[in-house]
Amino acid sequence: MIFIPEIFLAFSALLFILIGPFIRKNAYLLVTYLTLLTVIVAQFLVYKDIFHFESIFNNFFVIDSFGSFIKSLLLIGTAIVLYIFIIANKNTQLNRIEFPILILLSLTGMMLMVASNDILSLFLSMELQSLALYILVAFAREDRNSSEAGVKYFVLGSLSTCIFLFGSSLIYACFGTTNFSEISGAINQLNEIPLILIIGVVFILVSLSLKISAAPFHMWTPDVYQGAPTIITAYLSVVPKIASFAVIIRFLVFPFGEIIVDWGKIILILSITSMLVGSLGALQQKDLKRLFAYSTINHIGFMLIGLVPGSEDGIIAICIYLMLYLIMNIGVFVVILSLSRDNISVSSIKDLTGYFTNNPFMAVCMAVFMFSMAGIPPLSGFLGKLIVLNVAIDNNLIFLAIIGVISSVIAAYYYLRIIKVMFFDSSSDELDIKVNIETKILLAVLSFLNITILFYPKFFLDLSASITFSLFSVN
Amino acid sequence: MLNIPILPLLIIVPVVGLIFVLLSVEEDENYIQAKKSALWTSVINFLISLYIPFNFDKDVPHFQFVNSFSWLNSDNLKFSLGIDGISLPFILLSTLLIPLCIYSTWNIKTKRCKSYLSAFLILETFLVGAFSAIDLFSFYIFFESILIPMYLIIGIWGGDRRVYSAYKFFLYTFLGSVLMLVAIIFLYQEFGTTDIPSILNLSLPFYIQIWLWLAFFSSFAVKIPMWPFHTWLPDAHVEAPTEGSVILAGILLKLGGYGFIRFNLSMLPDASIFFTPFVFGLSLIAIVYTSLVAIVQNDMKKLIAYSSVAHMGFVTLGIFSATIQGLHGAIVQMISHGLISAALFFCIGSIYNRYETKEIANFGGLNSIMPKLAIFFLIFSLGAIGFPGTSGFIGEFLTLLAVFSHNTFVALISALGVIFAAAYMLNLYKKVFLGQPSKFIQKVKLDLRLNEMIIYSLLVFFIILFGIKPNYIIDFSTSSLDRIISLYPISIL
Repeated sequence: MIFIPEIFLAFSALLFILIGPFIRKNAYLLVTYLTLLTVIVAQFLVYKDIFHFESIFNNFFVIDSFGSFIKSLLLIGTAIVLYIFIIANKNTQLNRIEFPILILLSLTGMMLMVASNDILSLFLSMELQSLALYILVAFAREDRNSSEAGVKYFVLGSLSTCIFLFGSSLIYACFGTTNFSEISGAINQLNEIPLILIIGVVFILVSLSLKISAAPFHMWTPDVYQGAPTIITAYLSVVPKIASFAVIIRFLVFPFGEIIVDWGKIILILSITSMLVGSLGALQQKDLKRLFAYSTINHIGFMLIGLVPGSEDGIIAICIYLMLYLIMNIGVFVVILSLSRDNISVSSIKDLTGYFTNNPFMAVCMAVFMFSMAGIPPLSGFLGKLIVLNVAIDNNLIFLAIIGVISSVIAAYYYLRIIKVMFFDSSSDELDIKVNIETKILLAVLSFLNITILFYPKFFLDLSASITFSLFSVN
Repeated sequence: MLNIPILPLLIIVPVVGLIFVLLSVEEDENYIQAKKSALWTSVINFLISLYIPFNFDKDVPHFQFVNSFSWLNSDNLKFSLGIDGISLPFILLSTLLIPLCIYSTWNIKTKRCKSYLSAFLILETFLVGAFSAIDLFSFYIFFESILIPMYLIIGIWGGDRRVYSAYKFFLYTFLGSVLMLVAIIFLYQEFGTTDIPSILNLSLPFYIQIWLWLAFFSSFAVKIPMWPFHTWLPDAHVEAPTEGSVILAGILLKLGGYGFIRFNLSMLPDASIFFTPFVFGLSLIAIVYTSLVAIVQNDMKKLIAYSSVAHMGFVTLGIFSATIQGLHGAIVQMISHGLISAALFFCIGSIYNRYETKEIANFGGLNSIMPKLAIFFLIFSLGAIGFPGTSGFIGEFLTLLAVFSHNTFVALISALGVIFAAAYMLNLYKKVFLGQPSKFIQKVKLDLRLNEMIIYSLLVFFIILFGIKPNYIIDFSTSSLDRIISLYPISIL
């Protein structure tokens, strides 16, 4: 049967809940290993059908290569986060079996989200992932910041849900159906686009923007990133972002591709504000996690450039950017996670002072990620910027490209600040030097990818081109 | 001609050397093993680069030694390297100056020496890459990559205000070059290719050329630097370590001039004609204003930094005069400035290593303690003034000749720059080396070491060689430049 990965993940999660309590020693560790194994197996299941196309469960879900590609990114991201949890986590409050299980449940939700072909199924799977994430953010129970972040995330998430539901009711009022394929067919037959439909799309778009934290719907991001346990921030900043972005792409391009004139401008504004907020907001931040929240917003703004024209090239560019973003951001959070002083985790920029002197390897890796995020060649972040800008200029959006590059210059300032703190300043209050070998190997691999991807981009380009083709061939 | 992939080799050798440097064992505090591997790598690279002029066909205006690798998509986005008469002198300048920089660290204790040497080797890779790229994207990648090692060199090994200077250097140049990136992507969209030789054969409507010209200008005017975009340069020069200043003044500034010739002048002729008065105006201001600023400096490095801006003013004058003399003059001036300013920065480095200050006021009568340095410094100063017999003369003479044929007024004012140059260089020489020995300089009595002697002698050799036989530079570039000149009507002012 074709729908195996999600079903497999859901059943595994239930199974782990059952067997968890019966393990005496280090239950969480064993369950995490099992979860990691499950994720890897699911990866193979996704690969098996990567070029398959089928719509299933009464058109509720669709299997296509775009979805499979995003799913495999999600699985890779989750696998790395679980691996970091095993090797580098210092927060003992997280050492419970519920932790990996919740991650698994949210992952299931996200994979269903990406495959949804109906507003109802999309809503249900989005709720599954959100609920799991609310709990994860507040997982460190004794930590007040974590609880606060959890509440904030929950309140704003619920708001987003309300807006989503309202939007979908408007769309349902228009067509009497919630299925993407049927909506797409109905739109083609309309002579005039009713205003109520556009309002409905805008509501759903706002709700999804809250999920990807595109400005001006980004307010929750810095607080939640800072308050959540670092490992959750790592997860939150990568995996749900990729899933929500994929949903935006599918939602806008497939059923509503016809009314691009209407949503194109909204995406344009979202993109510009995100880039500006992401670059200007980060300038004064003192906490690394907060800073990377703004950095995420900036990157999201950049990716949205690719969506403005709604063309196939743009989606290809976004897919590549998402891939590179995963590599860069996970790397950064691995470094942040391993920062500690006297075995207490720290995450302010000041703590990095003199990092190059006492831990040159980590500092160099961090510098690679920073330069890569700033989009300086020959590092891979440049490839993402290049391809996205290429799309913008191809579609005569030169002013957007110029705003993009200027925001990336402003953003370069705060990436450089981190390098400055690590390399140029010297400190007396040193961080713990001990970093285990697994972390180092993981960082070495990620840095290596960041350095070398620019030299063989053809593979990624061809891959993205072949998977996005499926998204457009349906119409 | 043997089919050796000479340019990829030049790019890869420093990276291989880098591995040896990083793997070297720390025998003592002086890191002799690391220094030896770095020096050998760069010397070998210089010897490999010597293969090029002996096998270069001077009569061919097109690119030679071309190597292409498939990159983004195999048809029209390639990673191509090649060389013509314009880029050849700059590649040799880069491969010459890097070993000298590494050799000059020989007897000096540098903190984190291995990283320092690695930064220079990786810089060599990027520099050779930038000068030999014949694809817009490959050029941009190398051009921009240079910021990373240079930022670290200024920031880690620089002086007191190093952080501020490193930021300023990075952000100024980055802002300029991202606009160039937009222009490059636009060219790609317009022509469907980024291969420089094929773009040279195409032409664009005037109103598009204007915008593209400004985008490229924003990048190179910051890099070269032209007044009023020069303010990063004095800071970066003063705070960078000696070798960093040498590379900055010797090669990085030349990327700007090279870019002007390669992109603005060859690809966008109509816009270049349109903007010539603008460039001439800025160049004149640069020559006069920064020369006057240089006269009143208290810091030796800052003085040389401002003089660099003035000298680059001559280069931009020569380039945008769009005549064969002017372009020859600009190229000779750039090479000669690369050698002379590098030499002057080395000299100031020697003084700084002994006295730990660059304040002019502290010195006086240094020739009594360091007579050998005094002689070398005099030769280099004369070169900077443009004394006949040194390469500096050829560059300024040819430039003035070209400008004079266009516009006497411009030539008249720019000739003032030569007089000002004599004023500030001779004044510097007088204050530092002549007169009563000051008390301050008595505390160290040590003339030049062997490695310093070797470096300075080599530089003197080249400065005088190109002063007597500028043909060694000019002959290579004539046929390539002729092709550019043919785009322009006889007179453009």
